[in-house]
Amino acid sequence: MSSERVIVITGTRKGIGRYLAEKYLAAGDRVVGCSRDPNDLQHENYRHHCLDVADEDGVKKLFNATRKEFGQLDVLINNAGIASMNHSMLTPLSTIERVLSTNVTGTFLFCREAARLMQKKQSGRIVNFATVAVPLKLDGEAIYAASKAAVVSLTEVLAREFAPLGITVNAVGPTPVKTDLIRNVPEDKIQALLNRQAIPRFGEYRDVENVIDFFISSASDFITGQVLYLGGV
Amino acid sequence: MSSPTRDQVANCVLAAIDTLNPQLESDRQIERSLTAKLFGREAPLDSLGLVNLIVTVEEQLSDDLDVTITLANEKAMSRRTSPFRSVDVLIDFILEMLSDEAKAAA
Repeated sequence: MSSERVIVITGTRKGIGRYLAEKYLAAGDRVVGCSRDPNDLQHENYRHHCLDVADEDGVKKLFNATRKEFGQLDVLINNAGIASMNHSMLTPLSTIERVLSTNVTGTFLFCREAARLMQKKQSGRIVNFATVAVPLKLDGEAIYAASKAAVVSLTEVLAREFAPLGITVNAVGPTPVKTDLIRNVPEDKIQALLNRQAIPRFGEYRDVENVIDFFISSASDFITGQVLYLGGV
Repeated sequence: MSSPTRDQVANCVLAAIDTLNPQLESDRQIERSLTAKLFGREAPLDSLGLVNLIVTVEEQLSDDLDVTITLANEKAMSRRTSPFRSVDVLIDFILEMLSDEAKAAA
């Protein structure tokens, strides 16, 4: 794809989302980001929306504003997500609803609205976020893994629905990356998880970036419905 | 802000048809009239075409009348007869949605 793409990234206030937003802005792309709280990222080509990714009205407003200002959308990176580490017998309903709302509903709403905008050009790239917790079937992460299994399923089904519109839908499945997402996970649990990878190290932002760049490349127009797990799981 | 009139909504739907027709095959063109068939037996749109029409109408309503509504809602899906079967029925459905929203906001 040409430079000056229009890219929507969810969860841009910190972590991988922030890293990706800065990277694509530096490359000359126009980036629309969002988070629950205000973002101090300042750039002439950056637009920020404060919203909950599961709030339909807020999501529609973001895409409406993007359509009215830029008239197109080339890439959606569905990065926003929350995790929960807890034995299933001790997991409160509020946690279940919060995780499913952000990870599943949020991902779906952004895919839906993005596709509406992308279909005008009959091209687009959507990248969702899965996790190695799905294939590794991690105990203590029942709800988080279930929510991301749903994201995998969404990715595979939407890939088929959106293919006639020229839109690809893929997912990256990161290993643990040192972000707030794993802040509260005990060290021994993380180490046990890393030991199950073929390459037992933490993921880096650049590992995730590499997969995303591959998926959103113009040459990847024959690649859809795929989940690429990092670390060798 | 006052509710949009039937004529205003009709203009949005017709404008959406103008936007959509160039993307449709020659044998799938939508007639530009209030009685034109849209979806169903002997109608021009297939399911993907209907998706495009709904998206385009929603955008037109947002751009021209500054209203945000979701047409493919549970009310639409649960109807015995589709609110997307013809232009005039679609206009009635949009006005009904706008009226419901106005009542809910009151």
